[in-house]
Amino acid sequence: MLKRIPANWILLAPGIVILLLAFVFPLGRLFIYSFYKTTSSGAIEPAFVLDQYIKFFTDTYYLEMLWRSVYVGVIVSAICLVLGYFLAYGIARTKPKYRIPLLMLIALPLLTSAVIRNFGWIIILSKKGILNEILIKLNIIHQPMELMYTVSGVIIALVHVMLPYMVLVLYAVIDGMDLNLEKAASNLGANKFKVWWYVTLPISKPGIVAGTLLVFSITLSYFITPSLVGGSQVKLMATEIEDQTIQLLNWPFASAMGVILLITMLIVTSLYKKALQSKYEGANT
Amino acid sequence: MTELQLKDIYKKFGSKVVVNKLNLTVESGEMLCLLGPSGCGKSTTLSMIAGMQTPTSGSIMLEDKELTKVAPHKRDVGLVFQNYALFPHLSVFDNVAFGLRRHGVPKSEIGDRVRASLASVQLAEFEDRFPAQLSGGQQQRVALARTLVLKPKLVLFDEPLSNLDAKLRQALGIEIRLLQKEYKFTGVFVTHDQEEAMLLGDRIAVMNGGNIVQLGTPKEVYKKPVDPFVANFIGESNLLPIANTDLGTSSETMEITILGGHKIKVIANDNNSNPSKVMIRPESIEVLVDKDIDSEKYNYLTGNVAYINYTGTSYLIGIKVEGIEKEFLVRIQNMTEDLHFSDEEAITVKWKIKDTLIY
Amino acid sequence: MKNFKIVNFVNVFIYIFILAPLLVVIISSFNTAEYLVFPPQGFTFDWYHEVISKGRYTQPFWNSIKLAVVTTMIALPVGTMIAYAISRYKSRFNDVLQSFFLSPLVIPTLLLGIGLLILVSNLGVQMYFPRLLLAHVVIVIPYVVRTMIAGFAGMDKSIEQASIILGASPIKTFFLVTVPLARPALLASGFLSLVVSFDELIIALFLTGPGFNTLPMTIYSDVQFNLSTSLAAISSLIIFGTVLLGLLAVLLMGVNKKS
Ligand SMILES: Nc1ncnc2c1ncn2[C@@H]1O[C@H](COP(=O)(O)OP(=O)(O)OP(=O)(O)O)[C@@H](O)[C@H]1O
Ligand SMILES: [Mg+2]
Repeated sequence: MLKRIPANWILLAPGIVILLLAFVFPLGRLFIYSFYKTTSSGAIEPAFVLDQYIKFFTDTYYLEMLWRSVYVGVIVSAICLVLGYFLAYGIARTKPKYRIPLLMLIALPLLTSAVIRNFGWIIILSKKGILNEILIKLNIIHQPMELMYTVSGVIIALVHVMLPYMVLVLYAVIDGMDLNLEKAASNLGANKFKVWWYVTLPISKPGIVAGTLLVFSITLSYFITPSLVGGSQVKLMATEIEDQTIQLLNWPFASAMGVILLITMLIVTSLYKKALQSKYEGANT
Repeated sequence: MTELQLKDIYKKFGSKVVVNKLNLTVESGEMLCLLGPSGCGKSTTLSMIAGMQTPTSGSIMLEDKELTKVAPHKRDVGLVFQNYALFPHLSVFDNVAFGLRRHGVPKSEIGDRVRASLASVQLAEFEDRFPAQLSGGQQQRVALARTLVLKPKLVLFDEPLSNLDAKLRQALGIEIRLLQKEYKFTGVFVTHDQEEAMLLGDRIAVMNGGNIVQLGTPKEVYKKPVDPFVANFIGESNLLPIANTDLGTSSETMEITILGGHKIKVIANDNNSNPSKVMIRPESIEVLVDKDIDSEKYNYLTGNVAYINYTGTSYLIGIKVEGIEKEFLVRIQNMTEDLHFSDEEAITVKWKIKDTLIY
Repeated sequence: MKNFKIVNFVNVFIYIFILAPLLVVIISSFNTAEYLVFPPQGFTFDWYHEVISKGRYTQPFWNSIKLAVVTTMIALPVGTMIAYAISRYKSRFNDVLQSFFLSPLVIPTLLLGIGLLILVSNLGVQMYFPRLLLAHVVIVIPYVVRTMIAGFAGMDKSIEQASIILGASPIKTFFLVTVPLARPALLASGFLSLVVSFDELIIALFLTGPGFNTLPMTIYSDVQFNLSTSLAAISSLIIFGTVLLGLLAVLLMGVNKKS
């Protein structure tokens, strides 16, 4: 009997079983739960109703939270894009022997625990933290800035977490680019900025799209930073979902929020892709 | 005695036919060269014999065994690759011992057999090295030792010399012939290099488009190519399009007119009464020096010298002949004296009527 | 040339930004004060002594190590088998299979966490370790699959063919030839698997309970409620450990390349 099954399916079988059992199946349960009822006493009842979704979309508290999450995601992606482009461009144009060490330096934070990195940001950003102390000593500010438990603080720490992803994606594109194109353009008399604007930037567009999409998708559902740096003052979707699940034990509502978050992610990313595509086609004709 | 027989082998990748109803018999102890242009299905044919690919249909017999039913690791077949395919993580010794160990050869025997086999490829002192520490030629000889140590009945070679430089290629080619005498295997040798095929093959099978177009000894294939493709592929050739055929000049020869109005006599061939092309090998052509004309025996053609290339062992003269697009090639070997022709100078050449082939 | 200088100038600041949070944690860990204050009051190794010799981080640390190692022991062979099947066997499902096995990277861990929590409580699975293990394996598999597919793609297929023709069965060939040749990719996968699993927080928040704490969980709660200098010390140890492990992996990969 066993001989009849092709060898590749035998190799795939354990992986398929594990993923079905511990990935597909739980996500299916989550989806089903999002249609369950929560009674006024907090008990969960199997049902097929839209209660949870209605609750979410009729309460401005949640709608604002969803908007805040998208807003933070967009801002973080934009900042990462600018900083990441500088870094990736710098690495791609530096001497080859420096490239690997620099890339490793950038990837290093990616490998160290995210909790610890956010811990570092707390040390820096808190009221009596390093940043405020230094700026006051330098007489740049006189009152300590409020960065902890604010959206700005969350954005700063999130940019730090997401930047490596952006750099690695952008670097792959910029590094594969033909330097001769830039040289040719500057030989034709274009200044550096024009060369970059008309030659380098359009060619690196696939990397820009891929990088921003990646960063946005991860940021939107990122939990650790909003939780540690934002706390309960800056509620985002991810932290609220965790609260609903663990503190309030309202699993159906948490599930519905999860589904909404996922759908939001799909909608925003596909709108973004569409927008870029039509722009590109428009520029072509 | 027949060693290997391919019957109606057919192989498709998706909808693309790569080997098309190929039939081939390889005699015991011979070296058969599969010669053909890139992409004609040579490697695919070898892969099917070795078991890396399964034919879509057809059968492969090794002696009396149907090979397609035997798992690849149980066939008594060796394969030598173009890129050597040595195990980079094993020493030369372990590379050669690899197959012996898989075949359950007793430990006590392995050492002797590996050393004997390495000695036969002149690598006795290299058993502790790793592949990366060897030159290309040395690596390929390790690959040979690794294959031959198992004493397979049939050894397949997939362009084993094409990654080597010209000198080494010839030396190793000769070495392979000697090894064949020593180990007495039957060989199928794939190449797209006609010189290699001539040097190594007892017989040559010329492949094109997934099929064998001609099978014969190197001499037969060279002297009597069955069609313009083979003629062009093996050696140099002048192919002249025929304008019209005048029949019945004499019973044995017939006269034809090629483009440009030049008349040429050929041996009459009942099987091909309406040929479209004439083929003459450049080396069967001579330059006419005296004024002796013998039109019973020779064909003559006059044109202007386009270029003369001196290659050390021969001259290659390109002649511009009126009405013919490509230069007419003449190769002159073993010249005792230098050729004195200037460009554009008129030149007349001659060749035997019996050396004129028609298609 | 001038523009390049501007780029480099900006980049210095970005590099500082990248390294700053790690550096401040490390610097803070040598502070003599028990709670984090800036500027540091003095220099001491005491907090490292405390963290290593006794204390609240020991048990969670070993829990996390155990989890990471067992996760890797499962995910590495399973993921390698998947990658091998996709790389070496032709199937019209290969693209679909590849996206399927990479999809845990795309779906937020948060959702997987809730889904698994619902599932295990429905099924009544009480033991925390197997719950976490299963989730970690799912999260780690895509990293292994992606790395191994790249590794197999860069390998010369004819070496494996040579092995089969010399008489090694496909299974023998896999262990005698494929695995040794894929060593750099295996090392990279193993390293990623250990690190990703060791650092995973969200799954633990959702799926574990009293009696089984992971290190990221303990650190997470201390960052919220107990900003002590020994917290900085244990964090620094993790940073050093990760860097060392990474260097070791790179070193081993390099050694393999030479021979
Ligand atoms: N696995 C495959 N899948 C699809 N097509 C293939 C495969 N292997 C070979 N082919 C195609 O089959 C044809 C014959 O390939 P093959 O390797 O047999 O050629 P070859 O005669 O050995 O050429 P070369 O001299 O370049 O090695 C080629 O057009 C090739 O593209
Ligand atoms: Mg080939």
